[in-house]
Amino acid sequence: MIYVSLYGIQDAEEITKAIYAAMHPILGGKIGELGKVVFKGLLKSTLKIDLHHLENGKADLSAVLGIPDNTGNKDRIFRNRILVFDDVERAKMPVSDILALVQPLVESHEDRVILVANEKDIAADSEVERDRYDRVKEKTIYLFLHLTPDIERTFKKFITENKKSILISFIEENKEYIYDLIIKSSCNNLRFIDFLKHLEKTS
Amino acid sequence: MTDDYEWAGPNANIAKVLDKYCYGASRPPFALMLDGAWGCGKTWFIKRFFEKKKKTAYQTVNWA
Repeated sequence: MIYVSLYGIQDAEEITKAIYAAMHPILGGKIGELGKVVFKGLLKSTLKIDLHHLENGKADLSAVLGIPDNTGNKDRIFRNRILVFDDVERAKMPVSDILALVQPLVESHEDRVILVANEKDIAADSEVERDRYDRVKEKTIYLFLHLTPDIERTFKKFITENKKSILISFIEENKEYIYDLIIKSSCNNLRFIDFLKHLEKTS
Repeated sequence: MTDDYEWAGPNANIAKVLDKYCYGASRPPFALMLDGAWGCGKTWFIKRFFEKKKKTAYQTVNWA
């Protein structure tokens, strides 16, 4: 599984670099620091991908993932990869462009792509872009899975994992009452529960 | 392969679909979107799913 957060990412090249870094955690962050010759040599010998596309600061997704292009590059070393793109709605580039990038990956029937997003917030600030996204999405995305926040388990886990302080024992003693409050507030943000433990430091 | 999605709580069905999509025999030429409000545990869910997958894969190796 290759996990990439798209938070703040601006263009296809940045996505490519992020994927590359996720695939090769040791080399990925060091493209600039290592000499390019050394870098290329290393990759060629260990991974057998021709990465001349990474020259001049340019990164080509098809090269990084080894997708066959018109030049007949059939070096598919990483078959059946699972790519997870997180924070899709927080990317700084149009989501329709991200989908255009994802399309060739899944089209080949070989790669699995999971987009993780708060869908209703995709392109929330631009009607035009939202419209474009709505029209494009059905071509690329085949299933939408709607996650339900598991408040009960998260709360229980919070208590059992933090059973040390006065605050936590207070929460535990009143857990039914507090749990009820969380449900009634219809607060679906589970991070809130984790914020509880920081109360102690501030009070 | 285990069918144990206990850990996923109310989202056990989603874990099942994810499993089919990622490791199933049919490979549709489409992507999948995991949708949810902020902080509802999307990132946690996806990471936990693959963590569990890794562990069960190890088990199969040991059993064989």
